[in-house]
Amino acid sequence: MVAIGPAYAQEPSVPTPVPIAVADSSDNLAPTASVPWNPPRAVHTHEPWEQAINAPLTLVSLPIKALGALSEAGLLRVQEEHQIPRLQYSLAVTARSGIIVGVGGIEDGSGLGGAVRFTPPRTHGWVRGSLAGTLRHYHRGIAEVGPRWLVASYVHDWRPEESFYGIGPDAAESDASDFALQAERIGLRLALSRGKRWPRELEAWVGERRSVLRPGKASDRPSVEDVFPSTSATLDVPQIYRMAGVRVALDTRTGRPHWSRGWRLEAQAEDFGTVNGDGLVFDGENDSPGFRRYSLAGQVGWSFMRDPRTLRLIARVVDIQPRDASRPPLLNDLSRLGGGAGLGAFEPGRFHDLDLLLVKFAYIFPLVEYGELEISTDIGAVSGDVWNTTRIDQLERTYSVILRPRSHRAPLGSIGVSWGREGARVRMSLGGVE
Amino acid sequence: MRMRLPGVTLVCLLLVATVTRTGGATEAVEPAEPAGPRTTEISYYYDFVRHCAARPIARQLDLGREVRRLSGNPRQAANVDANDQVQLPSTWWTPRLGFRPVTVDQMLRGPGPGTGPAPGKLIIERAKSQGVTPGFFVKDSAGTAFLLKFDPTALAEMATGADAVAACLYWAAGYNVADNAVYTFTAEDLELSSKATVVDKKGKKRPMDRDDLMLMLEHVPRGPDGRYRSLASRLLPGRPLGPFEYTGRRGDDPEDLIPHQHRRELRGLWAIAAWTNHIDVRGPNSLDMWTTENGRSFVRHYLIDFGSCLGSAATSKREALAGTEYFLDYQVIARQIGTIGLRPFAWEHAVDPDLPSIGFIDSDTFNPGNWRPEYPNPAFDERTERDIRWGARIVAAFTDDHIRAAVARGQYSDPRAADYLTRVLIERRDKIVRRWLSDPAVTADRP
Repeated sequence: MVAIGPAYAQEPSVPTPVPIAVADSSDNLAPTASVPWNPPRAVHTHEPWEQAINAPLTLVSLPIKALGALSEAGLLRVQEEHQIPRLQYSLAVTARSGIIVGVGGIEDGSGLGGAVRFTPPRTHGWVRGSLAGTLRHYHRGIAEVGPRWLVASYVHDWRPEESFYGIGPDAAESDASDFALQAERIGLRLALSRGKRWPRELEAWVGERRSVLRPGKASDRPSVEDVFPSTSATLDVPQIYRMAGVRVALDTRTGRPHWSRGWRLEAQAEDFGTVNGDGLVFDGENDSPGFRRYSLAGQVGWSFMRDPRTLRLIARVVDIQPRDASRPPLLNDLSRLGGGAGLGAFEPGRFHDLDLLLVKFAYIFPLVEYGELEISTDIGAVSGDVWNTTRIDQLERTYSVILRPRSHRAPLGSIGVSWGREGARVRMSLGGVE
Repeated sequence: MRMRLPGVTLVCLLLVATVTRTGGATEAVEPAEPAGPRTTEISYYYDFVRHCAARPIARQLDLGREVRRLSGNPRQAANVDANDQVQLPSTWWTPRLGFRPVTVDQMLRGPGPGTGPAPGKLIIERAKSQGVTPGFFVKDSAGTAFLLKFDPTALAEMATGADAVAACLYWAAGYNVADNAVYTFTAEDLELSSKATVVDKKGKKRPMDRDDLMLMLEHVPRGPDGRYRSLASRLLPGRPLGPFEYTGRRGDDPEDLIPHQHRRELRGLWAIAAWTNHIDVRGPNSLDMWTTENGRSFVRHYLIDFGSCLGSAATSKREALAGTEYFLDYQVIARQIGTIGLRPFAWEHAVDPDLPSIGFIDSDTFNPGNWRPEYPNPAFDERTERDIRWGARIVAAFTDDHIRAAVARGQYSDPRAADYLTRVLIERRDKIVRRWLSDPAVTADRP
């Protein structure tokens, strides 16, 4: 036993419970050059009996060890050849030339993909372009001109496998189908933000859109016209909309690595005006079913402790009002739930209807320095009229547990599982996490 | 039958390979004249992945370890005598504080002489290309070679101070370290060797010119007198063989017969690392040197690079949680999930001293029973209480005067910084002593 008195801090109170055999008996404090003590033979990492009981697992692990050895050699080469700095340099050079390469999909359900953004040098950022694509053959191209607060843009979208199960909250899972959407959009957008204590955002836009519904391209489900024959008349018909919209928001959210305090209120109104035949920019056929879309969204967060444990309440309501009640919007313009849009346990596009109501309650807490966990529940439903026909017994619920890798500044992505009435679904994203 | 033969042969070969790889019972070591072992290198990336992810899983699947755990019979260090002390001589560690009287002056002299480069011009041989901080390899007017390392721009004195202080403490604790000293110079003191090289941003090695030098110095903090501050680390004698691992043995060193994770000096290092918050204690921050002394050539094992020690994280200050969890800490994750995050982390009560030259280190939230490096260290994973008490005995032997003198090696311009670091080290030492040496229940003879 070692007895340490309170004086140890003042004197060299070396506890000397046992004499120590100092082979190099000189008073020299320098390291010895003598032959070091060693046992007569090499000591095993494991005792023989440990090796014996571990033998089966050792055998099984041999391929993994081989893989590890290969990885080690490869990673050592990366280090010795300075390949990481070289890659960083290459990315920095391409960034200086205005090209930024990124990884990520085009919204939920479009599959893993990548994007290239291009801002030509010497344009002061007034000219921007991007191309994105995914392994499921989704594509999106964007060209923008103008300062950030006033942007003229052209967008081309190809979404070949959009899920559709029918209209309404009772749409059957067995009616799975898909459609493709080809859309082009040109417009002018004004975006202003002001205020520090009460940050305010205002956006207004006008433009024209041409959209064409096509038969779905998914190989694992029938196309929409096979399951819902009434939709066949809307396929392959280019339709033009004149669009105008306004969005205002108040945003007091703050916090790192995720926003943990404050609230955000957002209201948006859009008008999709009917165009009969050709538009100002795009060619179309027939007259499009015009409609107005109103949405209201609110978020509020409250956190406690230093590494924030955060409670969040998020609500969103969307109300679509067709100009002609007998001509509802096309499938791609309906409100929808499932996947990243809400009710994550359901496939993206699982529910379609005019309106939707979604409420999400989430709790986010830290796991380790570079990871946090979100447990949440979504409650919501689509309906024909969110104010009058939404019934509590029609609300769907899903529950989620999401791991969110994070830096000290922000969440970096998410991976997790959501489950609900129709089973569980693994969800993953790179970026795009608040 | 013929079809099965290759399979049987393969299994036999695998069995042989397994036994050979793990050091079979019949393995004997041929006595041999020590030849210069080959130079090795550790991949930082592989080391990180291996010890963060792969090895913790393998440890959980280690049935032998589990049997030992359940039976309360952990494997003790393999190089201790009947009195539970390190068998000497050792090329890893020398008994100093805790085992022999070491005066403050002896500690300050350390591996010696502790004065940095000789006055006069410094000739730059090449720029440092590894690690996270910039630096130069130089020779002083006496022809002695040094590595000069610098502080991050916004945190003057932090990394250099930590390196100087910690090297002093680790030497006094018995470990082999380089002779480190804070050293200041002007740009005019530096000259480029005609053979000086630098690895540029493209990752290519090329001749170094004055522009490269001035570009690197642009980011080096200067003192009020305009001089650049550096940590001058005297290059170690001998031929560098690369870092050692905290696990396994160096196969081509006939004097390395004990798996490193079963060495008392490396297991017990945990206590000193905990005291000094050296969360960066890992293979890549070590160095084996092929040394010839007294007509004998052998491998000597050094701890190097203390720039990520105490409150410094080399390029930034330490996070408050440093030392409380691994980068990927399954135990902490499990606890957090089990309590849905409602149990506060100890570090959440930490108060930042707001001393840029110190970074962040505190004693209030320091838990001497559960300190952890940045990612698992194999030797620390195998430590038993006997190993920790061995290390704690060394920590206990540092007097306040030793600590104050070691901190003075950091040459902090702000006296509050030196006072703070001294106080924190004293309080952390006291906590270690109380936890590991004062409690009779702990010091009872149990693993």
